[in-house]
Amino acid sequence: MSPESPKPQSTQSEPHMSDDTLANLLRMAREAEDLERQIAGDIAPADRAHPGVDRSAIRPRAHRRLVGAGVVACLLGLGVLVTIVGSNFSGHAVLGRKSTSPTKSIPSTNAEATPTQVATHTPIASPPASTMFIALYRADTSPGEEPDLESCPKCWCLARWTSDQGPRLASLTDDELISSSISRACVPSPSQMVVIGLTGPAESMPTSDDQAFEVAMCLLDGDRPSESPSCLASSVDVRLETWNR
Amino acid sequence: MIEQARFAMPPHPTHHIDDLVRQLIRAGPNPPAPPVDDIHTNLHRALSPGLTRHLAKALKEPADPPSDRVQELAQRTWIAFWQSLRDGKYDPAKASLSTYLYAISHTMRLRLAREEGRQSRNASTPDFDLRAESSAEPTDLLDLAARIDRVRSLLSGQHGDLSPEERAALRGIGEEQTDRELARRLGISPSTAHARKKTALQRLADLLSRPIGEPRRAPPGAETNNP
Repeated sequence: MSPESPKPQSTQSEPHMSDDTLANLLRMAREAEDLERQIAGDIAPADRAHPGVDRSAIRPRAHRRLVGAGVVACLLGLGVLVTIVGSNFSGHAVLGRKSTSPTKSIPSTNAEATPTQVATHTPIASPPASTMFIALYRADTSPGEEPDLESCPKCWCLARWTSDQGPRLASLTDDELISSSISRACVPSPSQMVVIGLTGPAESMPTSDDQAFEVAMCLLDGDRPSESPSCLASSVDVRLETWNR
Repeated sequence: MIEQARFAMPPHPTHHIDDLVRQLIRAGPNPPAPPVDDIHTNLHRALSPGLTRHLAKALKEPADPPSDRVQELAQRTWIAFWQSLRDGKYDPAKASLSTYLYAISHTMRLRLAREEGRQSRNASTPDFDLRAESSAEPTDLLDLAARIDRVRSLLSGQHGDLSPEERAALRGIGEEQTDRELARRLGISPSTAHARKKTALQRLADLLSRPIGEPRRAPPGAETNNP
């Protein structure tokens, strides 16, 4: 059993529990999640030492870099868009209103770096209440074919998770962010990955995979940079990382 | 539109840990030494640093280098973990490995706190409410791990059993947030936060009291993104 996957298979019903017992179970669930996070943070680097694990799928390789270069370039463009998006959120709930949060774009200049950091939307002043991660994984890439999210949404597998007790989004290193995302990959050997970290009020976070996918599409939509994006509430801080093998 | 986005629990790419545990379970109580030693080494290498950090955090003590208490607790946890694997007490079908490891470490924490409590009357359960924790402690570690996993599964929201509001309230309870803290976090009044906590606990108790396969009514606002 993987350390990332709680098992809900028990078919036995529990006797009715007191509030104290339930609260203790909730506390233990939180602590178990913490242990899992701690382990997950170690597993990814540890795997590099074990040939049985296909870490090659997630390491940059020189001979694959040409294939990935197109994706990187494309996502760099998207990163610029994210910067634009970050400063123009509008609306309410998941559809946010305009933000005055400052933004900055960190270009990916180091071809050796893994992950490729595309853009960072700097944190807002108030402390975040909730952190959600949306990760999109692509399993395989046919030669000459780089389907993006919009043209081929089925080519991508989505995972999302919250980390209310974890480290703040801004304090996560690239390696931690990518490792924790890889550990949740919904394809066995992802060839590409886009990780979107959202920090802000819990009620502003996507509440379903469909919503999360729409948010990702919205944030990554490089074809309509001039349109006013309505991806997230203004109070939501966005961090976007990409990575490909 | 996005069938691939609908899934229960994503497969973990680090299958080697699962494989190692399976090999260990298959090996039984009298395995040939060298391969099992390798398995132990690899498992320990993969899990130990995270366990140490987790225990240090739980005990509010340094992890690097770990304090004597953290080392003691980690050692006890490892011994119990190996013994339970050797004796076939862990079943991967019932609980995740990390939760099972947590259940062991939790029990070891309780024992250590009891011992320390006995040794020093002044040191009354230093890090947590021993009496309250004990009330939720089943005698069987696998049962405890399975129960925790079930709560985690419900909190994940993947099955739509709990609404986002209920999950937020339950997570607040798990984080030991007061009504006021939860209210501030969710942008609601403390009395509303209190009411949400009560409702969410009732709902959780209801869900835990029935078998997982039993048909359930969807709560208002629950997610419906299940296959």
